Amino acid sequence: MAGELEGKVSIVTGGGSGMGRSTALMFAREGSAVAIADVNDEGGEQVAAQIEDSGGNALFMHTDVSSEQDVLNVVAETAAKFGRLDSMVTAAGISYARYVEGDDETDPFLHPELATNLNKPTEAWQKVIDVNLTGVMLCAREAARQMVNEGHGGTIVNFASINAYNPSPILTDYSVSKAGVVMLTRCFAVEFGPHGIRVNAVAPGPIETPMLARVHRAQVSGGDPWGNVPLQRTAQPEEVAEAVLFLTSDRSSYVTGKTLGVDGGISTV
Amino acid sequence: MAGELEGKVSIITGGGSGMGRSSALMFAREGAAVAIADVNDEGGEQVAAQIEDSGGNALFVHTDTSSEADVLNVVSKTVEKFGRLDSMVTAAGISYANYVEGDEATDPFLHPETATILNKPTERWQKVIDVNLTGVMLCAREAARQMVAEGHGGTIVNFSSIAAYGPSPGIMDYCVAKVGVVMLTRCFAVEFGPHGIRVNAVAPGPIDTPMTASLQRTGALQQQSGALPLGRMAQPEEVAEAVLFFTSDRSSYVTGKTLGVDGGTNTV
Repeated sequence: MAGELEGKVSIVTGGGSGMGRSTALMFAREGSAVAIADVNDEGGEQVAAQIEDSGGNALFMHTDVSSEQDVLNVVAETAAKFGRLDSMVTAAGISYARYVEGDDETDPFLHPELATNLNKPTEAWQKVIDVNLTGVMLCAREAARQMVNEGHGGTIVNFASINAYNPSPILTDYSVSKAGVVMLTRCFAVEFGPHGIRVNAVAPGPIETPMLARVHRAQVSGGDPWGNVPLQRTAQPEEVAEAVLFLTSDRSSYVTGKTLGVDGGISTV
Repeated sequence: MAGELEGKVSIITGGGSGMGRSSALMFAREGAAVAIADVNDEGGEQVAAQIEDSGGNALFVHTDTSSEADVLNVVSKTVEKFGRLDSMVTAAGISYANYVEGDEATDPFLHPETATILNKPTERWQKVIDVNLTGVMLCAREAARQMVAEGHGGTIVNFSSIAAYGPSPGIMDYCVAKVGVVMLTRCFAVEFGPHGIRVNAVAPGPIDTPMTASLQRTGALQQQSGALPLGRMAQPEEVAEAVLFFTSDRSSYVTGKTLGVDGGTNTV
């Protein structure tokens, strides 16, 4: 049977690992051609190859989402190779400034004392805002420009977080960037609704991804850190990808401007 | 191919018309046995018959959701006939006290002057709260009790409304009831999460249903929906899709949430 995204073309930022990876694989399974945009070349190439090996269509583009030029490139390459753009998923994100380099010295979960607002340097804040907030804006805006030009509508799904609603003392930059994504999603929904472009977000809770592994590593001595989750477990990235798919497919045809928590019941919104 | 709800058993209150009807038909198509609970006998019987005629399993039970005895009755009848309960959808609701009787003299959209807070009698407030808030509590609670007893988890999807977020003259009782449903959904999610029962809600915007017929007659709904980002009102099936998402395993890590299905109304 035909998939839910048959004939569609999607860009998934952060598609090389975690929830972006799960989303890319699920979208491909549902019939979409998928461009993987990531700074993680190894992961991104692997996901693209996995899709191609399963008979799907994929493309990997090295993309730093905080670079306007990189974002313009991935949109242009995707439209050139697959002929159109229907959906953008902005899953790329970092939990701290040197997350990609894997710099343990600045990992806020390992060294919380360095990550307080009193002690964190401005450049650490700036990097997180650049990737998690400005990066989402650039990707969503360039996708919307492309969709408006093509004239057939489309969808954008952004990644917020439970931290958009819950302040964390060592994650001010991250929490603020994610709260910004919630409002950005609403603003884009208002402007692009008349063009038939729906814009929504997911707000994941504790999901078993490489990013969460760092939280776990820092809490080896503690009790169950997720005991306060009503569903009493963490989740697999596929469970978030299902929500992204719902918000991308026509099943959510009257839903726009919304942020859906996928968090086991933790957050309050 | 197997449907998303194959082997499941659902109760849908308000299943005789509008969004409840669309949910019932969609759930049946996805393989669920469906009990229709409604005060509207004609609509409820018709939906149940339509499901049976298509090869599905259905049951109609006359149910006033504000009556505890009626709610206990529909849960036990459903379990008796279908052997279990997996999902409850609380779509039953009224926009004003005499809505079911179709009393146009008390329709707040046609006669807003009788529906102001200054002028509306207490019994009209009470009726709307009884059906739209206490009715949801009774249905959700009895479903949860049954699911806990059966021990296999389940889902509850409540119907809130955009009115939960935007005060609207003439329907203060309705707005208050619907925001209550948002909090009720969160409270139930916290208590029943450890039992594997997920509890979510939809908050529909302007939908083309019998309830909005008088609003459509006055042109108010067209005006309201035209100003939305998506610029239109929606069909009830578009809400039923969200109800199905919350009921199926696709939303396995989502609980306590209210999703607006509202064309982009500028709220939560």
